[in-house]
Amino acid sequence: MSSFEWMPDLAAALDELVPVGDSSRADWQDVVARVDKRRLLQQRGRRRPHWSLRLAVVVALLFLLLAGVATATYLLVRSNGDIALGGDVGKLLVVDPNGPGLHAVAGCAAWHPGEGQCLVEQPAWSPDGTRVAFVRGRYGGMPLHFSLYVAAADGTGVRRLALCGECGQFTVGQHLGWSPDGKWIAFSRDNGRQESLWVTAATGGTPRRLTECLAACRGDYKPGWSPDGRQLVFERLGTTAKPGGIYTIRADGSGLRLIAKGGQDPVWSPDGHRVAFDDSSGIEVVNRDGSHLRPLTPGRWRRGEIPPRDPAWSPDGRRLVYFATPGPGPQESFRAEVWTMNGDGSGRERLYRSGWRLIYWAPPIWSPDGRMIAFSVANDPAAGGTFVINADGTGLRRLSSFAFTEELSWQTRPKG
Amino acid sequence: MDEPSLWPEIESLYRAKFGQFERVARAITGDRDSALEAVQEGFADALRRSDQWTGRGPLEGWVWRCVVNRARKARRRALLEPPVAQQRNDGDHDHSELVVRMAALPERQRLVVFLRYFADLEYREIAEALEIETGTVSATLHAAHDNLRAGHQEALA
Repeated sequence: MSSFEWMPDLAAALDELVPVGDSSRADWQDVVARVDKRRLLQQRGRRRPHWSLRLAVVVALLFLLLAGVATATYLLVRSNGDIALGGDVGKLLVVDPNGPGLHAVAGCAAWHPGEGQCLVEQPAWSPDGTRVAFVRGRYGGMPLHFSLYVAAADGTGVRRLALCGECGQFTVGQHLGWSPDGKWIAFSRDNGRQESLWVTAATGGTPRRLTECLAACRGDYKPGWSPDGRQLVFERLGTTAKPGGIYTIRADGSGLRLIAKGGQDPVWSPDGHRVAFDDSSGIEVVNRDGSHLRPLTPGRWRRGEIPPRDPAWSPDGRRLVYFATPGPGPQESFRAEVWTMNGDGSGRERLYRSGWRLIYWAPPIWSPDGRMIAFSVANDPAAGGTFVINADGTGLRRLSSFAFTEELSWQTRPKG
Repeated sequence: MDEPSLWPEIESLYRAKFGQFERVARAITGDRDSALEAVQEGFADALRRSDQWTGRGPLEGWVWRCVVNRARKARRRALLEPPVAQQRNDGDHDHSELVVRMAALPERQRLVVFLRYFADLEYREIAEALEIETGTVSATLHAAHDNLRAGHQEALA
């Protein structure tokens, strides 16, 4: 029995609120039709798809699973470690992007009167991040007698691998190339006139010659191993009579091949199919066999201007980071700019721009996980140094105010 | 199509009490079209899910749950104010104090009143329809009763 029955006005109030409806709108067949329609749709959904469609779904799921595992492994293996700085200083300097400032992991022996300044340059982390190679020596007359060294990641166990003389020091950039398996190091070595490329085992042993830079060749520099470890790419400085360019050569020293005339600073794409480099036209890319050469940063450069240079592929091979030095500005000065773009030259984006009076720089490099970029610029001593920035241009941070850096190498944090 | 065994029973309920279902749905949604749609879809839900009915509660209460849920969804979807509140403010009628008090009831109390008065459901059927305990139906009805009586007596005074 309802407790509302004692309220005589309630019925009237509710009737006023919601008047009695019209039962003539009842339509049972409409209800049944709604059920039938839904059932039909459900039955269609349940119908077994064609075997080819099922196979495609299985393959797609398998691909997604493998991609997920690969990505997780990639991120796990390629996590960011320390950044090593090379330059005009007698120590191998290292900075943790997320930690305190610089610290030295390897230096020079005690200085003796009459000896020149000691330099540690061209640091290069091994692919697994457990070792670091570098060149070290003292200025003090010509020819130079620098040597190639390797040490553990913490700077202990320094071992001299080879005398390399100038070791490519008069050409800005990285001249040490680790093989992908971490067993070999390629480097520039001079014979008193020209520099050729040599290869040594990372554990020591007798180096072997890779290239022969003779007449009409001023030097072979910046060796880079292909991702499959079978070939190397390098730049050859030529002469007026015989211009240099970008060459490839097999790891055993055979198969020397010119793939682009006049370029420098070559880098393999992560998939090994292409090589990016710079020349008087800016950044260009060419297939590994020398075909399909195309400019990525077309433009006209005024007298005294330097085209974009020093390309570096992102670890996933989709983007390139490069350096631009627009100018000349006041008193023949230059700016430093860091740009990224897609592998086909589209989607250019400027991430950084310094003030005028660029003095030193180290070309930009990607972090092992591809999320950040590191570079060094020195213009204003108060504002210069080594920086990291997110690949999307956010989060610029100065890691160090040390302004005399010409090479950077970002360590892949060792497993465990 | 093979019709499950409960279909005739649900159809009988539809034919016998369509007006009550439509009225409760209208009390919830606030307009006739949405109410009719809620009743039709609610009964279609009942037919589709009839094999899921456990038989532990009254079938009519379970069908009411389908319709009430549809009506509540329709109201949420339309972002309508409680229909009684709309009527209270429409200005065309000089509503009684009791109607105003009804409009001010919390949603569950209003629903319980509608189901009790419009649908003439027993407590356990209301409990099944609103997915609450039978004791909660009783307490809710008493709360609604107290609210309405207080307002009614104030109006009489």
